[in-house]
Parts: sequence; C-alpha cells; structure tokens
Amino acid sequence: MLPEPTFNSYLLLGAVLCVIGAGGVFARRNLLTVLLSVEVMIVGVVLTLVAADRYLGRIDGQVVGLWVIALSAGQLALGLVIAWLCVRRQHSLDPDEVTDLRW
Amino acid sequence: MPTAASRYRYAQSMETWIFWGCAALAVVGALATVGQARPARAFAVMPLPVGAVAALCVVLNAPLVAAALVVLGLALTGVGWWVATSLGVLQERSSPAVIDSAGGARRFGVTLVALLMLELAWVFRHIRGASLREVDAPPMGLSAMTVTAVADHATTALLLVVLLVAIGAGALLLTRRDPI
Repeated sequence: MLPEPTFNSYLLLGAVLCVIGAGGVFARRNLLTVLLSVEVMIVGVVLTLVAADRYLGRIDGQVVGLWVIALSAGQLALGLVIAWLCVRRQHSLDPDEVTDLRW
Repeated sequence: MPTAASRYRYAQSMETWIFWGCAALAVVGALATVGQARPARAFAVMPLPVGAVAALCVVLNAPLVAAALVVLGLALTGVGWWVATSLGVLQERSSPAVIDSAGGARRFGVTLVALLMLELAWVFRHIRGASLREVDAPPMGLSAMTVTAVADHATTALLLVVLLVAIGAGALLLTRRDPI
C-alpha cells in the first residue's frame, strides 16, 4: 500500500523538480533546453505554492502561482526571441558563445 | 451502497494513487525534458511534467492554476516546437552529461543546490508528516482570487504588469531591430 501523501510529499516533489531543472540549467549547452529547464523549475515552484496554499487554508499561494505562470510565459517569449536572434547572428545556440549580452 | 466511511477511504486511496502516479510522471517527464539533446524533442516531452503537476493542482483544489499550467504547457509545445524546428540547429555538440560551463557558473550552481537542500532540511524538520486539509473547503473561484489579488497583493500585481509590459516591449524591440 502506498503511503498517503502529506504536505512533505508535495514539498519534496516540488524540490525534486527544482533540482532537476537547476541541473539542466547548469549542464545543458543549448539555449532552448536551458529555457525548458527553467520552466521545469517554475513548475516545481508552482506546485510548492499551491501545496502551501492548501496546507495553510489560504488562497494567496494560488494567486502568486498564477503570477509566476504569467511571468514564466513572458520569460519564455523573450527567451525564444533571444534564441532566434542568436541563431540568426551567430549560427549557434551555445550559451558559452553568446557574448553580446556580457557586461 | 457504500457507506460514507468507505466512500471517504476510497477517495483517500484515489488521491494517494493519483499523487504517486502524477509524481512519477512529473519526475520522469522532467528528467526526459532536461536529458534530451534535441530541443524539439525536449519541447515535445515538456507537456508531461506540466500536465502531471496540473493534475496535482486539481487534486489540491486549485483548478485555475491547473488550467493556467495546461495553457502554458500547450504554448510551450506549440511555439517551442515551431521555433526549434524552424531554427534548424538543433543538436547539442557534446554529450549532455558533460558539464562544460565556466567554473564560476558551476560553483554558483553547486552553491545554489546546496542552499536549496539546507532550506528543505529546515522545512522538513518543522513540518514533518503534516497532513493536508480536507478537500471540502469552500471553492476558491475566480472572484475570490481577484479580490485577493486586488486587495492584498495590489503592489505586486502592479509590478507584475509593469514587468510584463517591459518584457513585451523588449521582445518587440529585439524583433524590430532584426526582423524574424
């Protein structure tokens, strides 16, 4: 019989998704895959927010979760545009070769 | 006719199965997304973790967040697939298992993950095994969320709108400078 999920179970799942996404951000060498890894992290964060919302019996977590999703959509749009421009100008999606945005 | 107690046990058991099934799907989908060397395939796999987490949000009585996640997943799949296949570049040059970033970025990543683990350990110590509330709480609809967003989080909402407008303007500027 599987153990009944508790608040910890949801937090642990959110953390695992965050760590998988963070690993992808630092290990991948393609801007699009890095972008997707960030989205995986954001999905983990949203799950944590909603679970905390349910645990505390409030609605604020869902509101913030919706905002995080809206921001992630904007970040996705901007990231795709930047990836497109990188390919047009440098013919590469390797983040190590993108030097235009360096300080 | 099942009694109320047996119906409650059945619902509990269903929630347990749904949680563990969706958790497995989310972790496998996230690993498959991050592990793909071809971005087009990664975009194709991405709806798996997003959909699994959306199902968990429904279990947690947050259908609006689940709907937003589904929309995000569809947008990711559609737009991302189109961009990845249109760009045509699309295989990574080295093995995906090799971390080949700069040393500073690697140290930053290790520090970040270590801090996350410390924070999680602290949280788990304080709320070990806490049960979630029953699902028969009052429905949290769109009107309640709007009131909360406008009343309690007005400043954050305003900042978010400004940030989204800035993101849109930045994307427009970039595409006007070098038309797609």
